[in-house]
Amino acid sequence: MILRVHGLEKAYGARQVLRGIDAEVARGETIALVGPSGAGKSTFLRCLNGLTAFDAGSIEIAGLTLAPGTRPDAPALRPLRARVGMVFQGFHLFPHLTALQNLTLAPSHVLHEPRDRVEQRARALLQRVGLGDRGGARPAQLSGGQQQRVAIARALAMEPEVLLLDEPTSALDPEMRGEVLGVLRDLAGSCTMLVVTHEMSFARNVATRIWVFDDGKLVEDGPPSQVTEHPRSDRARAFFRAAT
Amino acid sequence: MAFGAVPLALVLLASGLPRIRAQGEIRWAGDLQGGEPYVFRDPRDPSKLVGFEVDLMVALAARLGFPARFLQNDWSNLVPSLERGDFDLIVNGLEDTPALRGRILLSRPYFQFTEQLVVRRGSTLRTLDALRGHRVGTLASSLAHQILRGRPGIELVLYGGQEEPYRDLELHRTDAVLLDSVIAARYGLTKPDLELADADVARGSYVIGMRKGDEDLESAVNAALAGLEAGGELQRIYARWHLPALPSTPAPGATAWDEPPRATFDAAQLALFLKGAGVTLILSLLAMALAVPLGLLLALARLYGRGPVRFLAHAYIELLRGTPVLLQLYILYYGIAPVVHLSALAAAILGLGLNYGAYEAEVHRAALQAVPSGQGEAAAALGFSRAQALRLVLLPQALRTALPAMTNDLIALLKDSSLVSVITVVELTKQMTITAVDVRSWALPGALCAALYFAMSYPLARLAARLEARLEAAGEEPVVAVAT
Repeated sequence: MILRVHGLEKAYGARQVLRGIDAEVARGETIALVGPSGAGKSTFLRCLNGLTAFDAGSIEIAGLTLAPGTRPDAPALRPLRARVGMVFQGFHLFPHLTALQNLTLAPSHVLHEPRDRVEQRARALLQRVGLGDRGGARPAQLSGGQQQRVAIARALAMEPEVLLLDEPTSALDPEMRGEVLGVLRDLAGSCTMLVVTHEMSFARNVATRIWVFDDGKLVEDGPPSQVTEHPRSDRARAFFRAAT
Repeated sequence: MAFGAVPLALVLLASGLPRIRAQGEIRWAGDLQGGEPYVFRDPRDPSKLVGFEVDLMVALAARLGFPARFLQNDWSNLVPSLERGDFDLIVNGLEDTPALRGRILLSRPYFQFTEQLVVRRGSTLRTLDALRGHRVGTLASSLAHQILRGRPGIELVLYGGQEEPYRDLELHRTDAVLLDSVIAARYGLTKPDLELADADVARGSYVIGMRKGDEDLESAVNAALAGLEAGGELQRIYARWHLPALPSTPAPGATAWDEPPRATFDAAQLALFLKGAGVTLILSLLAMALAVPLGLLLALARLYGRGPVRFLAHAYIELLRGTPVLLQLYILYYGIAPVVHLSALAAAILGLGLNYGAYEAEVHRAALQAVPSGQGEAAAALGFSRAQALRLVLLPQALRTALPAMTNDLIALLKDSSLVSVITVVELTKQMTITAVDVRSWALPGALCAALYFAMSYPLARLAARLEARLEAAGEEPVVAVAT
């Protein structure tokens, strides 16, 4: 198992956001995290690489253990971050750097890899997300879809064991979603992925499993056909009825 | 020059004559602004100083057996500069008053004068009694100032220079000017619209000021002055400069010695202006070079420091922004002089740099806070340490945002740098006031001064505008609402 979560709890003040999550993921799986807004999907994802500190429970990810209450800037988190990549809804590319430099910055400064190897890998990754000719462009010169593809390539440049994607297509126009989802479809299988998404067709066709979150709980966990067609819980049934 | 730093804890320790022997020269100070006929630049050769006090010092130094060196110092700050050990003697129309006698050592008089009341031609207000309820101008902290203060009912108008009171009298801004006979003869009675109303309101004398503890120097100076007087040398100097004699004594016959013509605005003055502009520019650039990194450290301390560090940075910023930079300059130059002896130029750069550092801290802080929070998260998610995230991701973006504001601050600093004339640095504005009084005109020096400031600040303003335009063209990260 590349990910084991046990009894994960998180509250923002009086509001309980995660109420005891238990889950496991095997290497190479693609998990689609779905559910209504405010169900705790994004918070759960952010706990997995320490961007959000959790209150109780345990996380084992990529061979490392994450303890409750670890501050997001704790030095102890750095090895974990090198193994767990993250793609944000808002891209967060570094605007002062070119697309290629966005990819090479972390491998050079965090992994201390030689420059030519890093650049070679970065060019290959840009090629892979269909932007082989835009390496010299600044983020402001790229469309939203292109920026998100660069952001995915930036995360992959660290050669992570797990890739977390937090609503990667929500900030995009419908015509640009397809190009980003296409990249993710190609990635599926080669890299363990957890994707928070509202794209039901992606969840059905690409994911190995779908997790349905509701009110801080993981209420459904199974293969797409089973979860979408024969959900066990009323909440999941209601969610899929509304989503389709 | 004034800021020719005196390297010297050594010299400060020794007192009086042994110190002067060690430094190999006797240092005396005066103010070249409105320096005529005391000490001023020779209009025929501005690299040379002339004046009756220059002649006096040449004669005095010869008797004492040391070469003399002049140091420029703002007139109103001569006493504190003497006390902090910048020079050995004040020889600049220093008037003998009881208050001054309590503070520093004063020599026997080297010149006696009368206080003279000057009015507009044909005025009916010709005595101090008649001027009750009217405005009378004089120099701040002069003997005349003290006399007028003792006359209730007279409205005092105080000036920093000796030309301005007479100018305002001509312009009907005041009704009379009370100043000593040397100033009245040189700056007042040369104006056709003004005349003498009372030639002998009071009497006073010019003395040489020395630091307490220099009693051996005091007796040497007194002996030398007595010798000059007995030998008739003093009288010859005064006659040469047409200094007004006391009314009771007959005027000494004027000699054929040719007194320098009034200064005109020429190439030599222009060179002095350019030099002043150079001082202003170098001073501003060095102060900014100090302020920017200091401000960055303060901003980082405020944003990311632990409790006490954050508090100290905050306190520094508020203290430096909340008190006048003029006061900070005084403290650096005079206040801490017994402990840290800074040269005037060093104190000026440090003072402006420390002050602007507080402002730059706020510029950096605002720029860092303007970087979207997603940037820090993205950096953290990639495994960067906090220091790496700052250096590689946040600061490069923040500095771009801060650059136009910093350029604007540099323009402001360029103009604020004129404040450092209070600690004796002769920069562009001070040079303008010196020249204006020398040539008796503010129009041309003022216009030239403004032109030089503009020539320095306008390219900077253009640079700021271009940086801002480039920043906008580069665009910022798209703002996206992020769901939980």
